[in-house]
Amino acid sequence: MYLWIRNIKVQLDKIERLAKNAKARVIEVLRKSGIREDPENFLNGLLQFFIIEPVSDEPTNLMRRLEHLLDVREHRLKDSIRRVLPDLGDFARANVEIMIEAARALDQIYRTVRHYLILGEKTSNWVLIMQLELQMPQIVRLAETYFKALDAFKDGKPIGDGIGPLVAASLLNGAKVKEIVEDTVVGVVERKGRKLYVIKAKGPGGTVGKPGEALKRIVEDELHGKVSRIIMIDAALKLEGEKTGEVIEGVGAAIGDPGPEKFKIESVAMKNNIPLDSIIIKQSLEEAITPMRKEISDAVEEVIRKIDKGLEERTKEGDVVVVVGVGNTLGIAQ
Amino acid sequence: MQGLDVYGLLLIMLILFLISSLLRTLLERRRVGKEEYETKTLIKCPKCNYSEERNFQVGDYVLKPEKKCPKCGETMRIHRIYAVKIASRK
Repeated sequence: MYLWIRNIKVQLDKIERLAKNAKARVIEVLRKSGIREDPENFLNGLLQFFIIEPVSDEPTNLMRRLEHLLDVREHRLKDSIRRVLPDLGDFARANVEIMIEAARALDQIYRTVRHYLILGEKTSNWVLIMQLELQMPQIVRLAETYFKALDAFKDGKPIGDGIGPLVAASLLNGAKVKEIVEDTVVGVVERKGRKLYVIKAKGPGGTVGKPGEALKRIVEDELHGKVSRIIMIDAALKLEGEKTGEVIEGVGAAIGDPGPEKFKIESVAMKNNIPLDSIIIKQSLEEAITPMRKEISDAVEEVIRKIDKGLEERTKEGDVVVVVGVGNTLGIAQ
Repeated sequence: MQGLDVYGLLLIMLILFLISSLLRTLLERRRVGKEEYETKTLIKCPKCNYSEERNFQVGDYVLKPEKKCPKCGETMRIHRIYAVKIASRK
């Protein structure tokens, strides 16, 4: 047990260094951006900001309650950053926001591991210590991934998770778009004789937008349910040993949000009896939050080929199809 | 006396095994950490498909208008931004 504790402490020191360095980088960016209050105090106030999940024993309106809390949290964070960095553009402000999220994740990992280590030591619980020791390599890898992601967020480089918005941007190809809901745009293009409504988060700042709400408004308010198909494109976690950038088809709402957006997409599809297709691009967690690898970027053409094939096989000319590019649109405009 | 020698030999073998395991682990860790990437920006002409690749610069984003195409004069745009593996340290 002594050896396990010693090893965990060595790894914990490494995580602490990563968390401190991440914090220092965010503070440096805040300072360079011209923050109007002490950057350290400002960041400390946000690092442990929490959200209390709604009661799930009573499921009535559970998704709406969760969405409300997520909206409040997001607006609180955005307003805080806007207040201290009023002169910063939307693009740079969105990047600061996701840098803070990454630093927050690292801080959370550090504090959680430290908690279980101290608890295991205090209670001499060797089972707890053993479990922690066995999980340490994965925990350290996760912490390193978040740390590497900071560089991409700071410079505004597209990340692997941005493959959905990248496909959407390629389909739009500079077509006129409108902001249908906050941070989410839609554009209309013709493809294979079909009318495509393409939805993506508003870039090039780092945001995921609200694809579910946007889809709901397009399908119900603008098209009154007259949609032949919904096609969703998103990055998906691969299993170890699988190829990065592999493109796979399936059905269902391909979106990894906490619930509300996915619930809206499924509800809209079910209510209007619209088939819901999905195309996913496989990648690891590290690849999803670090600069987009070439193998992932190269998958765009393959995804578009699959969309074209789907349009030809499962819809007819003149049909209306909605394509949703899900993911963080950091470094990807429209 | 002979028993002690056997135990001594076993102890030496155990220590050698532990040292070799430790070295193997350290080498493996160093090998895993070798992969490095650099980010490239691909600029493409929407009219004649002429393309150029350069190192990423802060401020680049996909679909950002860039310079004029040297072949047809159309405004080129950033087509893709991606990370490519660079030669590993050996």
